[in-house]
Amino acid sequence: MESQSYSIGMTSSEFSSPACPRCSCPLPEDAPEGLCPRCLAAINLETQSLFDEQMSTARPVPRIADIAKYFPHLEIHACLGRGGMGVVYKARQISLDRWVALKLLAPECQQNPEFKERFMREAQALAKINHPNIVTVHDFGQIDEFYFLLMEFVDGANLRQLLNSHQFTPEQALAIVSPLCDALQYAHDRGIVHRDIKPENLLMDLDGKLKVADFGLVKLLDAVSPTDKHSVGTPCYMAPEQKTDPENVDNRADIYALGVVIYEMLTGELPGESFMAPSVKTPVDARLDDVVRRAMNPEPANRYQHASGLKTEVMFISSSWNKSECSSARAERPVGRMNVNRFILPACGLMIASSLAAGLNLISGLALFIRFKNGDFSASIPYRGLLPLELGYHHPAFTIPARYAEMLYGYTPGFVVLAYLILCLALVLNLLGVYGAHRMKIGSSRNWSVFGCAIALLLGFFMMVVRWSDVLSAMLALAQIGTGIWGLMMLVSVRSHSFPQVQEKLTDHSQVIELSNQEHIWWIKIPGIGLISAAGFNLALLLIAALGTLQGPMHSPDSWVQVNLLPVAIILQALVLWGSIEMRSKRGYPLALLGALCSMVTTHIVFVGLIWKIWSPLLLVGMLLGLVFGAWGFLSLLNPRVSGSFQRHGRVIPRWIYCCSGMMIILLMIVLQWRWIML
Amino acid sequence: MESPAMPLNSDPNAKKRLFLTTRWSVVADARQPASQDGADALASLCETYWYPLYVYVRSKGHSIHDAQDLTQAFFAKLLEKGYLHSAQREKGKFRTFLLMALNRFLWNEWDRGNAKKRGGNMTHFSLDADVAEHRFAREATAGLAPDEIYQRRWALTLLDQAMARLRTAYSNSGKEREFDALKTTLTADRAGVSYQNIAQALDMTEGAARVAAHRLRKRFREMFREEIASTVANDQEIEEEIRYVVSVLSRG
Repeated sequence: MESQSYSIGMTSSEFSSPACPRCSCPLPEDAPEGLCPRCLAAINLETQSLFDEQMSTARPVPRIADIAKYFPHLEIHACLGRGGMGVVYKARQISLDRWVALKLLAPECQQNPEFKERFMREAQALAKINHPNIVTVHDFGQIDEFYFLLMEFVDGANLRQLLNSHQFTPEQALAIVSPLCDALQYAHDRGIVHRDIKPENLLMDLDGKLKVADFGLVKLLDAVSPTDKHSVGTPCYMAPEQKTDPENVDNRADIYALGVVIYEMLTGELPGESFMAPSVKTPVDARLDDVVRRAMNPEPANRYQHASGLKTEVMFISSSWNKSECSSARAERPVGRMNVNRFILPACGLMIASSLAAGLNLISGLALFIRFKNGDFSASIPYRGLLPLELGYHHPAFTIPARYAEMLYGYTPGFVVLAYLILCLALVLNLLGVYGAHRMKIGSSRNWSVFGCAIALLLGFFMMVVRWSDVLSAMLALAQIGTGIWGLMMLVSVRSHSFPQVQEKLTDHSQVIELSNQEHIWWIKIPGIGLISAAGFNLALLLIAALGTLQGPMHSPDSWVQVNLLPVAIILQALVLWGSIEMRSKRGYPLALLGALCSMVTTHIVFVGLIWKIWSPLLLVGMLLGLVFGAWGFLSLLNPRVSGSFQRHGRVIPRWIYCCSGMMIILLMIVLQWRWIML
Repeated sequence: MESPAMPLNSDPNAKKRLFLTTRWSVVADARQPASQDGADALASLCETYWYPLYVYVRSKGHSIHDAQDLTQAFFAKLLEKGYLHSAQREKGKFRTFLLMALNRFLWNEWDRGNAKKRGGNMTHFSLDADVAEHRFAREATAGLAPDEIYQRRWALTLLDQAMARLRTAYSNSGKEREFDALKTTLTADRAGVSYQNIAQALDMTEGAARVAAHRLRKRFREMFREEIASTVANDQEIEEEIRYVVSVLSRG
């Protein structure tokens, strides 16, 4: 034992506080670690519950040696505790070298095959749950008279233990609401109800992450032994209908229990017979009283119908409740900040870009109108892009050779009218895009936000292709594309229900929602395959075009396009390909959505071909394929049922990667523009 | 805990190992004083329990010098006469055993009226007696019988041991900072802990800080229980001994 740990010169802080904060006795000079010996010793007399609950005296705990032989692939280390549901052991899964929790459910012996089948079915549904805030079930089965579940081992403590040791502040109490609601909503969307939400079942691991344990076990045990009354749930947290009408219990019973838990975390006590408002007992916002009351309404129809609704309300109250933010602890979002705050930046960028684009459209329209009025249809005027705009420079580099102009952009009246109509459409769409960006900024509608971003993306691309000879509009177009993509990426990584004040009608599912085979084919399989083939086809065309022009001269007016348009087109198609692969495999949702979106913007295929003087129906086919399947895929991906069946919803790529690559692309293109100008 | 300067064998690992083994197995080892292990074991015993016994002897009324001699002699006797040979687990609590042995020794010494240093090989441990006396002088022992003083000192030693082992355990896994930041939560008021500050100091979330505090508490209980367990004969006595030790400390 090192003497220095206990040198007489203990840190001055210990000397400066000579009394114990708890018992107020003076601290002896040689107090162990500077702590009051009396209080330290008293810790050992506290009654401590492990995984607690009533000890069912019916069955003795099976010895580890007895069980070990049934699980040769596990090393069973210790008994973690027992509860009404069964016994839990800490074990090591040898093959995967990880800790697991082995839960043995011991019903009154039922060898009935019907029960076994029900157990298997319920357990299978549980095993499909994969959420960061829910304890995962790795495996399940039956051995002898035991039904067992192999679960994720959570190294930490349950909320009951934490509540017992120290009081929670209101901020800390509310901080558990968000992950808890996320977990509940996720499970409810898949038709699984917990039925036994209580602090003992809410675990917190060493990183402070909340994990809900024992999901669906009540129903499981009912499947196994319906007469076992121990497994019905804990009385204080049970919704009334769980006692009176257990057959018709749905997700709202969990909402009730959620309300009780929130009450207990805020006040330190259970609501009891006389419901005293939380704001009376503890300094919290009075609006929380209504939240808790509503959640605990005896009538299910009067409660929150979805956990997400409760979460939104609590988040809203926390954010508008004027308390200083919690310490900026790493990896924990302070309770006061809503998800939607992160939309402000892309929304503002989008608004600016779209309004500028709308302005540009307006000016172009005016210019066109003036020319039309003056009857000026000559084709000899050098113009930049589709419509003339007097910007003051006439560098020959920025003109299309006249013969092309005649071929494509003949100043016939009919064409002018068409151009004018397109302009108007673009103006309207840009204005709608501005509105969508506004809705995104205030966070009141997810649909409008998606629309705004999509419009910006499409119009930006359209403008870039059409006005490619005009540096200013090219950069504006890039800005629109950039902010559109940024906004979309953020939107898809946030759940639809985190937009407040939205009465989103999520479909009411009481069964496990799995896409039927039929739906799967039409919504995922066909558009997925279509997209993959379209992308592959277009990519091939572009690459052939690229190879074909490598010998071309670099200083002709066309090379501007070669330099800028081709790489963008290739990148876009590559994105589509990647996204469509992700869609087929139902893995990364954001990428799939992005891929579908980019596939709708395929006009560049045609323009690339035109610039390279290749005209073949193949180009048109490529463009149409991409457009059709892109739209199909996009629409089907917006369906919440489809999006729910994807594995990953969060950021697939770390944020810094796509920020950096986005910036690099834009920078590269600007540099290329300037380089070209300087020549 | 102020440990008297003890030049054991120079291997720090052996020291650590001894420190962590149970008392009774240390006792068993110490029965073979001729072997290196035995000598180390004995030295470890002396190191740990020297102070409570010294305190007892002093409060019996012996002068400083006499007390030092007597205590040293007692340990020497343990070695020589093989008192440890009769010390077996079955005989009950180590705490009471040591006290009884010391009493017997003191009685014999008084009988012989001889307060001189005895026994041969004194050099295999040396005790920093001055520091101990210093400590004793500062202790609030007024109005307590020597017996009670001994028991209280014993209980405090146990606490120290448990905390030291806890600290070592945390250091070994590189979590000494965590230990230092969280140790105040062990005796804090229910509402008096600012997890916010702790979380900031340790660069973790508040939830994680709570769990870590809970973990510390749990481990402390385990360590303390182990310390107690290593001084009693069988498992049934653990609860009783824990209650006794706690009651001794709450009196003081």
